[in-house]
Amino acid sequence: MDLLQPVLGWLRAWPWFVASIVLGFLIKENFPFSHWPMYSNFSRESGYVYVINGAGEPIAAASLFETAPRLRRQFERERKAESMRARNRKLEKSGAEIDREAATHLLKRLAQRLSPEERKAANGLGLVSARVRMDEKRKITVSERTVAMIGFEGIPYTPPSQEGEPSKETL
Amino acid sequence: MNRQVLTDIVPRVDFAWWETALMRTGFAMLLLSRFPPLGSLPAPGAELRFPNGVAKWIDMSWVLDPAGYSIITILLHAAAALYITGFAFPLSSTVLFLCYLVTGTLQNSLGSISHYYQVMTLMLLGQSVASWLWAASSKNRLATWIRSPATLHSFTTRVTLQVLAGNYVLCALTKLVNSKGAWIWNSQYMPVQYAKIQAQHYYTTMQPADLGFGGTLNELCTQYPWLCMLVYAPGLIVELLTFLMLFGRVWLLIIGLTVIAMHVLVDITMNLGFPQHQWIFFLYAVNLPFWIVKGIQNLPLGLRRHPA
Repeated sequence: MDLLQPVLGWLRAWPWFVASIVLGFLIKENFPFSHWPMYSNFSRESGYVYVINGAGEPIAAASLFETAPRLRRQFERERKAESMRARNRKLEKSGAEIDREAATHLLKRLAQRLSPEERKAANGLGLVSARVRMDEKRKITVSERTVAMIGFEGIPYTPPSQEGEPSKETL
Repeated sequence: MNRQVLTDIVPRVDFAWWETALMRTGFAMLLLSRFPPLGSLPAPGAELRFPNGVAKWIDMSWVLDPAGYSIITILLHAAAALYITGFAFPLSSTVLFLCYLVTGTLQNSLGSISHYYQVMTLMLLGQSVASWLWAASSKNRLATWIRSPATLHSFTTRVTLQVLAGNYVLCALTKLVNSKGAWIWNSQYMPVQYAKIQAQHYYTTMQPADLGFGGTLNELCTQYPWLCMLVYAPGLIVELLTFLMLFGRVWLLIIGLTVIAMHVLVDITMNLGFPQHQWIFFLYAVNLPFWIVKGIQNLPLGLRRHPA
């Protein structure tokens, strides 16, 4: 109890410090606030995604004005939204179906950024989901599966601005 | 133990006008150089599928139009110039905050949250709110607008340091909460994250990342889980102890250098660079000009000590 008073004294002396912590915890991921959840827990398993063309060859995320970490987070967000939608409509969907619909949403958005020439060269887009696992002997293995493939029919071209480089952030 | 003794060890640091002027100049340059380019924002007309923050209530998509973005950058440059002078500080810090708020919010409205601009924007928010409060409580309300009061800038600098410390401590607390206190133990699985990060670097550019020392260290960490914990545990401890920088000039220097060193190590070991955070700590916490001046004043040349 002896320490409680001085600690409270410090906290009273640092209202902006206390407010930063409290607001971050309460508001969470709403810009500019954050509770900084990145790398807040580790497990034996993690994952990433990447985009492929119609021939199954990887496409640099930067050429789609994205980064691979951003694509992974967008895919995760789409999955959550799809899962919620299915639950609200009382639809029974498998995990693979939810993944496919989420990936299709994401791929269609990315496809909008490809010019007619780029679309012709790509001949379709796909999303690959990779899982990284560490086994009991600390050996790391990667397994991949193609979650969805799309064509370009009916997808409008929304050219991204060419001004400036896409951001390089990774977190 | 006398409780008052412990409470009183929190000193109030008064920053000299030239210190805060240099901090403002450095921070304004950082804000200008790091401002999100139009190419990194959603394309004009693109659907913002997951509106983030204020974008849930306010349509800010006009900024995605090149003309709208031009207006924002003009405002940014004008406000940055005013910010450096220190005049009309509530106005300049608020405009800078809004410029970053709009672009950062739009960038985070496609479903992926990036943590690149939050700290800079939160610092601006803190400075903005603090300067409006200072202006409202000041006896001479005009002073904030027609002068560049040293006491105002000293106050907003103290607020900035509290915001910085608060967010680093919050980052550590989130790690402890989300891992149920087992973050250091679970850091033995960091090589899984490392493999993911390397793959993500590759699939972003289709160029293999230069692993350097980080690659060698990761191989060792894969073999020896205790080494993983030894390498990554200090990061959590540094974040948790960032509040110590609020205990005065010497602690500011120590914690500033320690946080910069932590970011350098994270960059080397995980290929995760946060140069803007390093610059912020260099400007506000390390505060090299102060120590140079203090060093010169301590030389036996009969120079007057600075009162700060």
